[in-house]
Amino acid sequence: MEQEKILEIAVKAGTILLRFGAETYRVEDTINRICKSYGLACEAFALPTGVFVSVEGQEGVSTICKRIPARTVDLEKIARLNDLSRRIEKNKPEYHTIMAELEAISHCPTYPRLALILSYAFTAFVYALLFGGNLRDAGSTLVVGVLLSFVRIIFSKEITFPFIEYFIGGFISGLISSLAASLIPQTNAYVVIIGALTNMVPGVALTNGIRDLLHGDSVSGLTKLGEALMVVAVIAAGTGIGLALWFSGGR
Amino acid sequence: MIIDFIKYFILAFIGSVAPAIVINIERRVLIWAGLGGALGFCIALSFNPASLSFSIPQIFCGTVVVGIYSEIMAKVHKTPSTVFLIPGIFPLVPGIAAYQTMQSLVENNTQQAAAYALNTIFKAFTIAFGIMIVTALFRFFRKALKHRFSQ
Repeated sequence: MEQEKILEIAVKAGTILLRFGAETYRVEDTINRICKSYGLACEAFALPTGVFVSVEGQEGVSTICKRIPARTVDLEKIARLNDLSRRIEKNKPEYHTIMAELEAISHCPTYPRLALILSYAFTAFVYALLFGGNLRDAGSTLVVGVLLSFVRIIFSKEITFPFIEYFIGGFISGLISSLAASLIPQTNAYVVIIGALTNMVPGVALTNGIRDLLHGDSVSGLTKLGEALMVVAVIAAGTGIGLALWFSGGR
Repeated sequence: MIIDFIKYFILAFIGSVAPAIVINIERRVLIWAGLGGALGFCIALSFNPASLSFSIPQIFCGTVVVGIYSEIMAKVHKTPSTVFLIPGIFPLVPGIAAYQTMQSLVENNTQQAAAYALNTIFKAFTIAFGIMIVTALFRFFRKALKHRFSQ
């Protein structure tokens, strides 16, 4: 296979991994593994916002740089790509079969929308109980969780401004939880807020940032930490404004 | 007390399965990922069943258990260990502590914010460190085994 095509496959695989939230070392490993299995010397450098790959073979040096516009987490795509890269290493399939498979992986199905809504609601419900709420708190949190899932579904379609989703999510949680606390007796607005926001806060992203740092990928680690910090700041601004609106004029 | 444990086991199970659906885990491993999260949470809880806010050592033990579970399950189901790790650590990660830090800052309560910030950073670091230790150990033993068999 020609050098350009191998590079194209490697970069496409790396882009999919980065787009769907793989760790930085896994992205670089996968790119290296694909290039090595076709006998090319390769250097890969992955950041959360882009990837550079440079290979060296008989046709000289070629480099590709790809930007990653938006990122989510999708474990099935990561698992399937990991599987594919192992098969490439073993069988060295043809260009067209690999490209078709990469295309299939990047469009592999997600759970139905109802499952997404239910899981947002249940996450909110469960964590409201785990944060020491009673069943009334958890019931109101369920409603806020459903609303947050709507926010997520609406904003996953068009990428306007990545943090607006978190701001609106925080705002809705702040407003609805104070509404619930004033309508339903024995409801703690604070528990409702933190239960519902468990869906949005970047706990795993924070941990993954530190994992990258511990792995020696300093730039991606710090980037992920910075992004997580921005997300919580935006969420806190949203809830703060929601609560302030409620206390100043809502009652 | 046993009843309490069963209750928290079920809650933590749902609390890792539901986020796992949001990040599109494969259907065949969904239940197993949830079990890992419930296991880690209950191990952390078992050191001090009275309180649901975990200390750093509790979180460390929970993470190590989740890490070992994920590595074993990754071998069994032939999938990367991340698939089990991320849902597994979900009940332990300090997402809400991070939010509380910012919340305290918004309320202009700097002292509380500093306490929450330290809590968040230590917990996140503990989880990352626990995962790293388990991964390193498993890699070491895998290499040692390979070396022995190849001789």
